[in-house]
Amino acid sequence: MSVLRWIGLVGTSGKTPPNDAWSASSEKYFGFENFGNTCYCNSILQALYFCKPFRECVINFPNVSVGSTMPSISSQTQQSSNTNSTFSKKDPVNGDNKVNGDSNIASTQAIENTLFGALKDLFWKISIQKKRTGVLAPNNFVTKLKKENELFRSTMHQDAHEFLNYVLNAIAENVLEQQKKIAEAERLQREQLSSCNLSDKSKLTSNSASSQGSDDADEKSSKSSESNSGTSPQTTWVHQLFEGTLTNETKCLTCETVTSRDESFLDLSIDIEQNSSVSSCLRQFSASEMLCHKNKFFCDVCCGYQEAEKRMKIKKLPNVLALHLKRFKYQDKLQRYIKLSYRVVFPFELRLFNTCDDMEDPDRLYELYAICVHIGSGPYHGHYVTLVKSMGQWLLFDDENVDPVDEAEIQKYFGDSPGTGSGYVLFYQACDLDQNVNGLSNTIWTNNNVTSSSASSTELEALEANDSFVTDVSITANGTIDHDNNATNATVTNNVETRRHPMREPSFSDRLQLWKNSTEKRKSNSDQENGKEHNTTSKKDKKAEKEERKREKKLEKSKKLEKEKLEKEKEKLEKEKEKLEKEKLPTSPNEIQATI
Amino acid sequence: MAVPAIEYFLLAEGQYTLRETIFLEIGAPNLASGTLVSIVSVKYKEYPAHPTTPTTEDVTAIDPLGENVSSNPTTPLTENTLEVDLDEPTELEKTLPYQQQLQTEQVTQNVDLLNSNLSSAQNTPSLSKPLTSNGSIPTSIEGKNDDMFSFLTQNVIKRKKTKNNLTKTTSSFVAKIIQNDNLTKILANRQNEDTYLFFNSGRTFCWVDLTNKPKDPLSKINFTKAHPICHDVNQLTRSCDHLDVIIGFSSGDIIWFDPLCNKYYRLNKQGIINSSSVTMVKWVPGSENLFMASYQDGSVIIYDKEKDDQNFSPATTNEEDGFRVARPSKNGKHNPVSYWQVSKKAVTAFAFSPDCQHVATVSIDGFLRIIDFKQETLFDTYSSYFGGFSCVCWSPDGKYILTGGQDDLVTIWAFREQRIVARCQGHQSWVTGVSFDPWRCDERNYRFGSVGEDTKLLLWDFSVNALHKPKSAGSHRRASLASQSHVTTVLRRNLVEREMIKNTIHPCLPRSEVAILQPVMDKSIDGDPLCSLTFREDSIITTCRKGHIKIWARP
Repeated sequence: MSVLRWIGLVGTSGKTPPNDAWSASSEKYFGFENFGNTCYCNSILQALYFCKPFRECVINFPNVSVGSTMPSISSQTQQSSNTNSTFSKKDPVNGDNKVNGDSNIASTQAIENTLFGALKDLFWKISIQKKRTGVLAPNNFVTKLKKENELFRSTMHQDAHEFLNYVLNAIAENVLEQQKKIAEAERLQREQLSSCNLSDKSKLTSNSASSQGSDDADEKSSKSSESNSGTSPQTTWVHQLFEGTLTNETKCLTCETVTSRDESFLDLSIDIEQNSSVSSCLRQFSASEMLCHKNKFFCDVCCGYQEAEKRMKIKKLPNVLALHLKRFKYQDKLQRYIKLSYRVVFPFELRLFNTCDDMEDPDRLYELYAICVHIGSGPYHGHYVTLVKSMGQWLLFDDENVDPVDEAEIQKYFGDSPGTGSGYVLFYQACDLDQNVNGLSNTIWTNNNVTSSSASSTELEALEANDSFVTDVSITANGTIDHDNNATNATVTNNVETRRHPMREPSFSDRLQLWKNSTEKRKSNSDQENGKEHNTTSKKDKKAEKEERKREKKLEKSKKLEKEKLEKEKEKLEKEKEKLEKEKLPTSPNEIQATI
Repeated sequence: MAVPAIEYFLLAEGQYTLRETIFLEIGAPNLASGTLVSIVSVKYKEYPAHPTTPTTEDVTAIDPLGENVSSNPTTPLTENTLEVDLDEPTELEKTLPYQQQLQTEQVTQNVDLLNSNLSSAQNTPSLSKPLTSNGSIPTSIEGKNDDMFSFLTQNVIKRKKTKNNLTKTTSSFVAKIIQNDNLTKILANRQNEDTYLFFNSGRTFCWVDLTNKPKDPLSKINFTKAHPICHDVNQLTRSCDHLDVIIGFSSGDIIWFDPLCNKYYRLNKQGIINSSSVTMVKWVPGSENLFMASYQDGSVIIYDKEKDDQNFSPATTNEEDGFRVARPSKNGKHNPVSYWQVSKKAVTAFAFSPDCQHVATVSIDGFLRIIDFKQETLFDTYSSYFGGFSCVCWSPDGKYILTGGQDDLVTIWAFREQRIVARCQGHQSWVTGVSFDPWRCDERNYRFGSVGEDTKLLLWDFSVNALHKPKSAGSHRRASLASQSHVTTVLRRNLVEREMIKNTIHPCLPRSEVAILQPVMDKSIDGDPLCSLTFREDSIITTCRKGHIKIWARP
């Protein structure tokens, strides 16, 4: 097994020894067994696994058991849905809220039956391995895949890009469904709440829980918690990571009216040219095109077919940019697809030239983290391997084999040397994604977390316990804010020193850790026992704080409308901070109300 | 890909025509690094000097009989200010480094005193020794002073090292040398001026006579273990019976080779000093013995061709990735003369400023670093738009620096103003070679060319006044980039004197804030990605990955 080769030897053999961060990391590198032409699947799965935010989202996504009576307990969202069952049973089991990885093992029915469940299971299996390297058989996933989609059912060679596209969409669909179920559960729970409490107070609770102002818009509020960004009802973290927006501008040459139409994408397929670069291909992708002759444009203003100029620009850059190089082209003469062995160079860093002028950060910097390589001369046969950059070290994943690769070797995959293969799908990750992941995680879990905490607080009977809870929430809020500040500071320092995040990987993982800590903090804060511990330490302060809070309560009500607006603008870091403050602060008084 | 062979291209000044294509049929070209050329012109009779040729290449050759050299030590002494003024290059340029070396030895002294310093240093080199603690090229150069100036008066005869004869070599490193049957005859029949061109292709290093029969190589050396990557000819020591050529190899080895005597000497043997691939070698302008080599591992090493290797391992500090200098040999008797850790990733190219005060290095980590060559300190650091840099050059007047790299852009930097001037958009792939055309540059307008992986040759005309700024910067939105630039301005404001500014790091400016330049000529001139471009008085020379060397005659 070649994986064993580099456990001890690599440090001494290579001219450029793998960097320390890599050798010291706790990352797991597992090859995947090939079940007969499933290399397309293996290579894409590796690329997805090493997209850290994606992996985190997959593994941490709650295993909700809606409809099952078993109270499962893997993360906050789950708690929120569970409180439903707990609540109905009138059985406050707070100890259950202690979160650990074990609950993942008992992945529940709802998810297990989906492709996403199989993926989650696989990712989770890799992450719990004790060894650093090895081989896993993704048979569950492949079985599920073949069951779900007949396209991949045959033992034929498949297109890796097609698979990527399918898998992202399928996962997004699964997750969306799941989120709907969670939302549904929340709605039920709130209904139950309102039946238990005075109607006025229940309004407050439900409002604060979903951060939506209007009472009658229960559905709307549930959507907001499922969509996170609150704008599109169809959004999941899959979209938040991979989705970008293209704008299709058509300028009628007769009346000069510009019509633009936006469309979203999960990956970009770009035409390639011989001896070009990826940036150039992207530029070409956005080059203006004349609509004339048979291909005229119907102008609504002129009410007729007119000559027009069409341009596709990127309006919103995705967090993870999956670039598909169209190496397989249909040849009319031959009546089949042929492979273009063009030399297309791709840099380790990338900024896009084909962005809209008025967008937020047109100079967003991306870093290459994975390359899916096709080896072979045609689309119907050949082999896929994936090159992945993990903790600053490049690795070649070839089915069950994993080997470290020198960065200088990457140029072999530019496409013109027939034996080594050619870059086919490139995965670029935004360098500022680490900051946004915080936002992402917050938006994913905050809403649900708030719901859960408010729900669990309703179960509290003693005022003392309530006390402690309130204080804890405020601590959490502060903690989160601090954390955000840290992130900003860290970024600034990085910028000053090298401007390019030379420690990108470590800092990223650091922040991930921070992020995990903060979420865990929140988890533990919703935990009653923990709260009591805190309570003993500084009881007086907390009581004073509680008084203040009650006074603030009235103010909060008036600010509610403002809050709603803020809720929708979650993208900027500063705003996020504000949001966190405002989101956290109001919950506590409301909770008090709910329990009184 | 069958690309129609381009025979000419048109510009405002006229038509450039393909005069010659040199191509050596070999088995496997080294695609990773491609073919590069080094050119030297040697004269055999005293020519009326053409005083305005700005490149070192065309400087009147040192006459072996010593007729020409007397002027050298006396002329340059007025040129000693730090303010770079290079309107009169050529001879002055060549001799400047001497005083600069001396000057650094006397860092504490006033420039006014330099005149006397020079003479004192020249007469009694020992005097300046205590002062070298100020940093700069160390004792070795001091020791050289004697050597250099004696060379100027006594000529080339004073060679210390015995070199290996190439034809009789038993080294496993050199496979064989194939000499032209008529080599001795050709050399004997030389007249007035000859231009020699050296190039590497695959594992072969080739020497051709550019003026007479470029298709018929004078000699070819095949190497067994490593690819020759880069090479340079010492323009100072060239003569009709002696040429100093250095060749850097993928194994880290460096060969100092004299094609006329057919002798060679191997440095950094088996990578004893550095075992990563050499990316570029250049003679230190104006030095007979010193040359600089950059490496794949991010280091730059100054060697003395007359010195023996000494086992050397630079102190490895992982936490610090700044610029570090090591001078391993205390007595200056061994190589490396100086060792710079410049970058964590490969240094792809470097260039000496025309006054030889600074070296610009570019690396795959995407930084342009300007190093004070004399002080051996990092002066400035600039960031690419994205991706690594692959090439760099200075304008003939030393005011501007050009870089090209993986962002498909040629970038113009103002050296003294310490800022980005413009980004030049036009290549469809990575830029691999940039060069100014000194014959078409004046005080205001600059002509430069660039070649890239897109097989294109682009020519650009640039004048600072004609640059139009992009639409007003909507910088308020670009929080991250804006904050970066703010920090730098604060930094700069705090530092009053230029001398105090050590390594200002310049952030990457957003697209909306940098002027964009368009090419005046854009033509695909080869079927393969191009590697380099050289401007000559009468031609432009381009090379490609597969080994085609094309010579384009000027109008």
